[in-house]
Amino acid sequence: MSSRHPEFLDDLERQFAELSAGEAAGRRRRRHAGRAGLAVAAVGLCLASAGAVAAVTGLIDISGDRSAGLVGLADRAGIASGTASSDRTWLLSTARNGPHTCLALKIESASRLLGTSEICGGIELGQFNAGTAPQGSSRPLLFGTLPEDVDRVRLVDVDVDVTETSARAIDGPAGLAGRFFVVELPTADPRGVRVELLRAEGELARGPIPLLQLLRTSIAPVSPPSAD
Amino acid sequence: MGQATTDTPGRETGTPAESFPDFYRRHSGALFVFFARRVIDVEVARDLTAETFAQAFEHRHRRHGRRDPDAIAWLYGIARHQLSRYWRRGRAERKAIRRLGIQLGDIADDDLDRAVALADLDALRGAVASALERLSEKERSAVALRVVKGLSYPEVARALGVREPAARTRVARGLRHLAHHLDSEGADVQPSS
Repeated sequence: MSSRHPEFLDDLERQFAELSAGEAAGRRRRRHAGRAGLAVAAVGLCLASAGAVAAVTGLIDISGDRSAGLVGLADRAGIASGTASSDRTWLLSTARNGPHTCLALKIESASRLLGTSEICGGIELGQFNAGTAPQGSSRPLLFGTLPEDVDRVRLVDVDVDVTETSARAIDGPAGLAGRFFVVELPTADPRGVRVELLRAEGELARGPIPLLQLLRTSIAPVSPPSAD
Repeated sequence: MGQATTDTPGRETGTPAESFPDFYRRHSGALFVFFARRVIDVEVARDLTAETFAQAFEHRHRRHGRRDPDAIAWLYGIARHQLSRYWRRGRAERKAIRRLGIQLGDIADDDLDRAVALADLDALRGAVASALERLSEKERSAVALRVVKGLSYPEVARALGVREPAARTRVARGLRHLAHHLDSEGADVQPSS
């Protein structure tokens, strides 16, 4: 660094170097901890950052859900359930309505139904489709389907702060060849949120797409990500 | 089946990976000048520089895979966001600084001189003084006391008869308007040396 540089810039450089060195040391420790250690760390991060997700593999009894506005189809199949902020739980399910696929997100808190959001028609498995489930002052949830080569959805808020949330793709239950996702928005205000689709290696497959722009066209499938 | 669990960095696409300290070393001086020429306050510019790099550090995986011009544009995108927040609130944000535990100490007098020289602020102050007439009376008084007379914020607040946060906001908004005037006159952005 030039002698004209103020010392406080040098001092910041030293602190960032220490932060980088600490991060590198942490990576080495995690590598040496082996697979079991990695699994524990992964579960911990999962719970801390985006809520737990559990598989649902059987058919769901929807007889009690008609008031929630879900299409009453007998073949409704659960895909996954999980938790979100404000003690909310969600259940993602799918059903066929003639030639169309329907995808629904049901949100509850302490077994009380908070609401459902459903998109029916225009969804093609293997493509990117998305819908939101707004929840008043709580952070909305974004849900939908993903192309096969996408492993993760990341939402970045570029307006308030550079904050982000992300969720890994969920494989469909047996007999349903598709990939799905549910992710909580980083803020309650969707206006500054950008959606990014990432491959398994972390490469950007598509995006960033302004969330509001995406939702205006989300009933029609969005083209699958193009290869870089 | 699963959920986000790791923070896998993207792959580099063509250029060798540059460490964050190297990235900081290459761009910190220019970024500090970028801020200092706009806020005309070394301490605020130092804080904005630190917060911008702290946010960049927290989201450094987003730099991976970007070509150099894109990485710089990304950094200055964060910087402009921070500057905009400063102009609205009168204070540089310190959220990422606190999260990372970065220490910002007092600035020694000789270091202040080096920073003023680096950003060529003395030359800019002349342009500021002549452009003050284009501000409202409230903003003109606040900016003149802080930037031209060099008073501390508590002193500016006492002179204006307002609380310190109000004084900071008035100075910041005045500087924002001043920056627009200076930009339009070609006096801002680049130091003369």
